[in-house]
Amino acid sequence: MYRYDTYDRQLVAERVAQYRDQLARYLSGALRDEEFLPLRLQNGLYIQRHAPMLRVAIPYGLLSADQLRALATVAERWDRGYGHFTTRQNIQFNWVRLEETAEILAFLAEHDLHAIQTSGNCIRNITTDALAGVAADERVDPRPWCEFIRQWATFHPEFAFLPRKFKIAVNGAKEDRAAIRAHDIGLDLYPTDDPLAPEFDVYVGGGLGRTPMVGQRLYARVPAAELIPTLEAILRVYNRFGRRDNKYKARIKILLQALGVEAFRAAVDAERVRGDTVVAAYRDGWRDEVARIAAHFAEDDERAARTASKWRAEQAQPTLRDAGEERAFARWRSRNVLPHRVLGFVAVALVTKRHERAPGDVTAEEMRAIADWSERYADGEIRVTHEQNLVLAWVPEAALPALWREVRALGFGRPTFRLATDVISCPGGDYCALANARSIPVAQAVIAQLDRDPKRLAALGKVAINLSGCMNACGHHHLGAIGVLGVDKKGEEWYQITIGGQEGNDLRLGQVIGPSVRAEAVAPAIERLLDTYLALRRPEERFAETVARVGVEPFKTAVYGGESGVSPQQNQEHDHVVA
Amino acid sequence: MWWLDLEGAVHPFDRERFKPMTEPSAAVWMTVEDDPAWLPDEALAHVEAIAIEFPKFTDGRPFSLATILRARGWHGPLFAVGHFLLDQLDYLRRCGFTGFAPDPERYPYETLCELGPRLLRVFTEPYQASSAVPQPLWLRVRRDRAEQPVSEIEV
Repeated sequence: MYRYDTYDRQLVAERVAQYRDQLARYLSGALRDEEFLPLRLQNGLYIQRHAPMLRVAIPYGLLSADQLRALATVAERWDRGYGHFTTRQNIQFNWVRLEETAEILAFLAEHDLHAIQTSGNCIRNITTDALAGVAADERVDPRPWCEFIRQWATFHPEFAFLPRKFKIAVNGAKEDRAAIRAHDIGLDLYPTDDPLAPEFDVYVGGGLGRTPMVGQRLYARVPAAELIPTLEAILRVYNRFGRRDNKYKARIKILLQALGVEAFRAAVDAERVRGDTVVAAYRDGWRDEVARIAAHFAEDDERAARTASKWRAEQAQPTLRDAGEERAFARWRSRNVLPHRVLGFVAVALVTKRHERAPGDVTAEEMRAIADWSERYADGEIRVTHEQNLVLAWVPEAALPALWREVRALGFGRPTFRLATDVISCPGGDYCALANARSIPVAQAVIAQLDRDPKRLAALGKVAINLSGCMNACGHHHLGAIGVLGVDKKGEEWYQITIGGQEGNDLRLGQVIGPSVRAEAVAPAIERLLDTYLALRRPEERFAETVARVGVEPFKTAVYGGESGVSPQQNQEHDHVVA
Repeated sequence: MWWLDLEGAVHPFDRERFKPMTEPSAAVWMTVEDDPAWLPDEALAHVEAIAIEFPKFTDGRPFSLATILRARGWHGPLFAVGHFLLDQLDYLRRCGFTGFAPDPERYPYETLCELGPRLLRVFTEPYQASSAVPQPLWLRVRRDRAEQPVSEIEV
């Protein structure tokens, strides 16, 4: 991964000192509530329902073992012994004390970690594919570019008080696993003859939230030298003309919609051609800088690739005890072990979802165990996926049985990666002050119900179920095959259900199927939706594709009743066919 | 009203001297709704000073207006005026502002003198190029590796 130099460290240290001073002035009354608010937000600090919440940045989802251990220490020393991995590849601590936050940030800085710009109306954490650098279908490794953009965005003096938050996602693979068209800016990388100078397709105006929209392509094949000038021009147009009168209409997608993509592009073009000495400076020397950053990742990859033979030589491979264990291992392998670009290696997904805990929650003890596994079996790095799981990206195939034993013993070995129980959920009303409804208990009920029939779960295949406790859509419910949105009706929690959303190259937003339902009706409704899918799908057809082909009507009927409902007999027949 | 200069000294601020963009004047008062394009290059060349007013500190438009004015090659004194925070001084300075006249009710003379100078420079070597920082970090300094990779693993 990228390793900080003295300048990176100095910037983080200066940030800690700045925040310490601001916190002291706030506590003394010299900084007012409304003044401290954006300052603390840009250091990841929300004031929540029970206590302040600290969101620590995990740039593009990449952590070293040492950093994961540092997060475990934060969980133990300043929180209640666990952390919550988010859909934007960060981690949140829900029980910190305001007075101790400067101390926590100082501790994090010792491990090259921080909470810079993880909230507030600024450029947020850059996100990408959790398999970046190892994916078998990768065109260009996005990691050096994520770091290059991270540095440009960090403490950018012009773009720290934007109309609203601003999210950038980067993809370099054939299959877009970063949902780039659901971001304010999405970048799609394409190779050229020069490995350090890919070209960028630039998408703008995607986003979920109250008004979900799919990003539109603003430019195709922008040369690498023009990347920062292009980003600056887009941000400047947004900073000047984005709406500031209504926070629900303040995202760049609303500006893009109001102007139309042609007029928006013309405005950005005008900024790009401005005789700007600042932008000109970015066209100079960038290639050497990208080479410097890329070398960090390349060296890691080389080192990781060398560990396979080391592992084989030093470790005795455990054998699987009996046929039952062999079957369990095979199931896990088929679900949680992902292909790798280098022969002899795989990536392993550690699933955090189980019915007795909140999706994405990991205890300090587990973080330490995972850090140990990453060093023993992989490259000493851990990736956070946007499904709120963790990935070890450089596991020698020979190490799989031993790793599986350990992973399973701690409950991370459920063979359910991206199955219906791999529910994505925001913290919801249990923690978040913005939420209209709780999402964790609903997620747990859904997981518990689906767990009852593992064969059916397997037959369903990949189905994304996403829960958000409010319109802000942190659970990305619009992108779920089944999305659940918490709404408040006269002080009661209700849940609106959408179907047919999908991530990937064919990004689709879900459609609402009808009136919202009560919490206890969510899991049964999801059961009926899944039954309908099983009954109606064609071979290999994903949930969203079935919805697109047959329409929402049969699903609607299955949930709310009516004549075209799917009978249980049909389900059983279909189960039999696919089981 | 008082203003802080880049050296940390505080002076009286003559607000009356600045006129709205619609009036010809050597000192221009700009609001966040104004467009620097209203001043053609020829007119801009005769402008001696510009003040950009913050309606509230969360409105980040002045940062871009300053950047645009500087990008057009205008080098005169550029004042941030009104409802901004001294905590924003570092970013304001980097965007090309050279004078800072905050709301005197929020920051009385004594507070401006005490707090202003030390908040002018927070980040000694920022990553970005910006109006007041002509080069990105990679052109300003030699970015050596902080540590070499561990490459002792036996093959």
